[in-house]
Amino acid sequence: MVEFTRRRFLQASGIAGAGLAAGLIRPSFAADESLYAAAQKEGALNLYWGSYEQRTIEAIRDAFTRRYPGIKVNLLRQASQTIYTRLRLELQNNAPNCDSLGSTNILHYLELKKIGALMPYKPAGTEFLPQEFQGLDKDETYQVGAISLTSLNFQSDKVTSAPTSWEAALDAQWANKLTVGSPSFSGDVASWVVAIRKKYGDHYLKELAKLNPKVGQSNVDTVTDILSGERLVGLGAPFSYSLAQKATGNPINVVTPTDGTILNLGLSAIPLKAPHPSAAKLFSDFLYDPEVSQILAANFWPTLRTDVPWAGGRSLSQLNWYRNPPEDLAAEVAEGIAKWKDIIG
Amino acid sequence: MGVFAIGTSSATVGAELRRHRPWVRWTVVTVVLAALFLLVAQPVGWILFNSVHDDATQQWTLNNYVRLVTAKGMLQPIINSIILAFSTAAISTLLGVPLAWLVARTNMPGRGLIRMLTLGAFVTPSFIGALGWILLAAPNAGWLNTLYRQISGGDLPLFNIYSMSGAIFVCAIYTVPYTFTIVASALDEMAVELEDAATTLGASVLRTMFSVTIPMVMPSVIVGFILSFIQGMTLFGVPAFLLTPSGTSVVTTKLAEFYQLFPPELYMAAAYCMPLLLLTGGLFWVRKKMLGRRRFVMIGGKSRAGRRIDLKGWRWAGLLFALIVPVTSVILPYFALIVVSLSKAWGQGPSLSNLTFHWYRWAILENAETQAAIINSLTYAAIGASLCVLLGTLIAYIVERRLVAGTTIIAALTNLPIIIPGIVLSVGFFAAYTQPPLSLYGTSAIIIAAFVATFLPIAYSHGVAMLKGISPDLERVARILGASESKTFTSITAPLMRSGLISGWLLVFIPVMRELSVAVFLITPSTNVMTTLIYNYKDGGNYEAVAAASVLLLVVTMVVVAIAQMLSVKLAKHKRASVEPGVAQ
Amino acid sequence: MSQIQIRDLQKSFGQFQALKGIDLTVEDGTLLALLGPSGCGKSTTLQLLAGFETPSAGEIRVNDRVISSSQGVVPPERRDISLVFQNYAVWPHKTVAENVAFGLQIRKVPRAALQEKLTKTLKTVHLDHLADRYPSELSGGQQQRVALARALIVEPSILLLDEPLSNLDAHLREEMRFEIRRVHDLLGLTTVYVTHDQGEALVTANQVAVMNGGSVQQLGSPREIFELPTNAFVAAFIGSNNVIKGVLTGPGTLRFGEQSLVGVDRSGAGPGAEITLCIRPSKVRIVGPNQGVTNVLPGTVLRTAYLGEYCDVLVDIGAGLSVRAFTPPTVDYRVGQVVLLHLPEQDCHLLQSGERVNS
Repeated sequence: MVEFTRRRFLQASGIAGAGLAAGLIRPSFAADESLYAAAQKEGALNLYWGSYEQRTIEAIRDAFTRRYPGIKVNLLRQASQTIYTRLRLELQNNAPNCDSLGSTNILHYLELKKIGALMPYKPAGTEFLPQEFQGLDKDETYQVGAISLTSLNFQSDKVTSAPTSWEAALDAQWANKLTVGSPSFSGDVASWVVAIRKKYGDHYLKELAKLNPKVGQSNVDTVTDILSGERLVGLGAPFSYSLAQKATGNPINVVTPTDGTILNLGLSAIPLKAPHPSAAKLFSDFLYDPEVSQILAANFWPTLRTDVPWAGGRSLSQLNWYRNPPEDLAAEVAEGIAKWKDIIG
Repeated sequence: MGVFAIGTSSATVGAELRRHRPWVRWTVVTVVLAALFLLVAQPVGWILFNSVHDDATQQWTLNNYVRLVTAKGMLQPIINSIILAFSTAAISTLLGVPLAWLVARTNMPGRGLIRMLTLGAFVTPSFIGALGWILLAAPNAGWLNTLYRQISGGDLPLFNIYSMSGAIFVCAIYTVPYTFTIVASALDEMAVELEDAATTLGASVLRTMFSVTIPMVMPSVIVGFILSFIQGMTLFGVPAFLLTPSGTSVVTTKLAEFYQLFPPELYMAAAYCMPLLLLTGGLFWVRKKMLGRRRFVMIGGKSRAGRRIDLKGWRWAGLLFALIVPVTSVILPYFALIVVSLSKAWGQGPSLSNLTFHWYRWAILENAETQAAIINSLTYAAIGASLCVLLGTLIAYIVERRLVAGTTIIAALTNLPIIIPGIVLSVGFFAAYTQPPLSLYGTSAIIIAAFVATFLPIAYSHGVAMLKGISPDLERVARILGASESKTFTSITAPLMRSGLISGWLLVFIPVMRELSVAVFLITPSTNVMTTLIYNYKDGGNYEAVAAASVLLLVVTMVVVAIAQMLSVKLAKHKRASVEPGVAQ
Repeated sequence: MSQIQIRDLQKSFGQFQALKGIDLTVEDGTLLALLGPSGCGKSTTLQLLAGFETPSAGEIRVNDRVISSSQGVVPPERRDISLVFQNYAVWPHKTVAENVAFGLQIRKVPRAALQEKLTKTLKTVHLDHLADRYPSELSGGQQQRVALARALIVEPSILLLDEPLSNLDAHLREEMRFEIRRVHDLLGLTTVYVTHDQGEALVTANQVAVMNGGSVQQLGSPREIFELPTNAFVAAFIGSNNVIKGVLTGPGTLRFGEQSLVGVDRSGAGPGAEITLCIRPSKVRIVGPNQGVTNVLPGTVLRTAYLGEYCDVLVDIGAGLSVRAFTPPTVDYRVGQVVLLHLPEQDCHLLQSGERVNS
């Protein structure tokens, strides 16, 4: 486990900055000039994003506004499930308002695509995405918007040797000291539960239940519980957000488990009836701009461009990561939630 | 001034008399009824409509109701809700009634301060109170528990806020303002002689309180109990934060679950809130019966207002008791929140090196979202309260003075929103007003409308209470002296209600400022309000921002309340007499 | 000139019929008292006259113009009628002056004229020194005068008074009765005065309409009502009264128990009918034996009360009946004493009990 110190972070961004200066990283296309003109005419952009926490998504929004003045960006940052419900209400009542949907649950996009509610659009710059995550949808109705890593986190002042794997977290010494979100509330936690069950079966959940974990709602609750000192180790925890909190001086740190960091893709799509389609396309393109990836790196998120490194010298290839395949995912999630309710409560 | 022209045939008589139809009255009544329909009947109608449709196929079905009674996990949340609501109401009554007695009828010191602090409990959104109490009483990290462990040297916590008792506790302390206010005003108006009768017969202070005072205000106590019960049933934030970790569901959190499912089961949710509606509706009917007998409390007459019971040595014990609610609902949680709001990184705990005003600077000066949300909250609350009081008072006037037939239905419709959970009403409004012809989605109009609908029952009740104190003869006299109906209303009725209107305005303004669940689906980024913003910050784990914004919300609301109170005092200079008949009823 | 004509006026509230069809005419300048117990319909009549209620049937005319009928009413503000309420209804948020001036302000009377009228009226009711006080600072009697001033200042054609004295204490009430009579005579207003107190009716009114159960029992001058009541209800309601129920056996003869009495037959009933004999206690005399007069009843004294001006003696005359007599105060009767009561024939009225009488 590598210690992420301030020095390392500054080093990493220094390299990134130098790289940009040296022209090794290509700036975004000049071909979006006409798109910008059309977007300016529209004058506004409504983002419904739940994949990133407030600070990161606000930074991205601010960067967009600086780059493309004249477009008022309205950001709705709520949990992915809430955003999706709202979008459904809008669709049912024929009151389209959303221009860009950023949710952590692929099932949302599969469903929307099925009813023909998504606009096919291939943003410029998707070729800079990691190879494995390109071309998720052959009809290009949705692409990767965020790479969300789920790992362990812990109270760094009080815990000297944190568990190094999911399995190790089931040790008896962690009884009454664990915290976890809820799969019925959080898409990230749901995907963690599905992955864990695939690997270890229901046995894992049963053992976990014996340790009496504190069950919250979103995976962010693990960070809250750790910062308050209420619990000491978090499962199904947000990797990036934990590191961001650490950087502000909070006593929290992460562990990338040896038996697999769970990777969940937050996606990005434009609804078919978006009221500001040009602005939406402009934003989709902007997502893959180096500036956005730098913002992501600065907030300890994985970047969306392979030529912009992550903070602290990490990278995808270093990690032992695992992503749930999308086939049968709906059924698996439902089953996971049901089992969770039965076993853990 | 003569009125005369001779016409004696029946036809001309009829025509002549028809000339004098009350046009103004009919116009006002029509407008009011139209508003009532748009604000209440339509959205609720949509909820009912939705409840008999299937989420997946959009077809008609009774399946939602079938599931309600047969499927697993549907009944338990209802039972839990009833337990929570009943206990909340019981504790709220046990705390609120003696508190009202102490403040209204005795010479306990610090009465004004206690009244103000109890108002602080009314102003605080209960979900923020819950957050504060998590900081204080979480079993491991809660500050009070840590303190206790240091003192006792043991390992066990004193409190566990993540439990049903914790949830009951938090719900109760924020519901006390209801029981307190209702019983306190009944006590304020009670004739003192009734107690004198007991004391001259030798009854002690306590004996008098139990055998005379409390039975006299029993209808108010029951009304307060019922209101607290309804609150306990419809609260969302507190059970969401405090009960979910232990896996306990109540109706409102179960409803939220339906909205979180993939795919969302909105129609099932509409059906699921029906048992809740039936139960709270039934209770509300009981309340109506209670209020119908309210007359016997106010015997009026020549009461010597202001004479208080001397508690002698028990004064300080009384004050200690009276401080329970203000301390637990305002002082302690806000203390915790203020400490967190002043931290650079709250996980580090309170320390000198961790102090900063950064978050307040950020919220007030730098962050456009918070600034906009403060302005939105204040604007929507001010406009909403004004419209709500206007509409509620007009409806009260129409019902009390029986200007049209069918006033029972009008009254029932006006009271309907109080029994509907905010989140469900929110969806009803969504369904009613996002499609043409009235497409209001994304505007501030739909939010203000939803707020007006939600708190119309409060404005209406308040209007009724005001009007019951204004004898209709006062208006009839003006009519017979030549004033038309509308002139009478503006020169006689409205001025007599003036100070009542201000307190009515506050009664709506404050709950709007702290309302969360109604706004959740109706706000868009440009129409965000403080409560939804705070909730978002909490979702995002940004506790420092949560704490700073919560403190700001409290401060901003209290400033407005203080201004309104000063205005009210100025206008109440010519307080109506309760001495002679002709004024009080 | 303001003459009120009420023709077959009826009013029902749901199932309850408050007025069963009354006919009254109030000539210009007359003060008519509507007298009766609670629930007799007098206040309802007033409300209809004021225009606050709509008749179920019948009509009200002023100077031959219909102002109320079942088809509709001229609204109160256009009737040129003033009403003084039982509870005064003085507005607590206005001073005395503002209360009284209100009607003139509505009529947009120019300031100078308004001020002059106001001062004059306040002087008339002796309230000029209280013009800037608020009602809460006034006594009951003072508030009542404010209400009266307020009603009179607009110079209505008709004045209505709804039990204006019932909330005053007895001494003030007596004084105010004469005051109202004085003001009425001064202004010559057509006035309708509702009261349950027969003393007020007799003192203030030119005409009295005694009402019961939604209909007028008798309409007449105070003297007529007192001396010649048309039925036992009226007889009992006005002044003190003795009631002896029995059967009409012959012209002017009433049989009760084993005894008979003769009197003036005003019942209009046939032989065998059940009627009532009424006689005022002031007319009953206690006489010595062998005075040779008719209508003599033996009885036993049940109780006596000395009232200074007379003695009130209650005598048991058998068959479960008792008769009150007002006797000169100089004679003392003892309880249990056997006496002879003389009921002078011309003072005995044989009457129906109290059904509707065609006036």
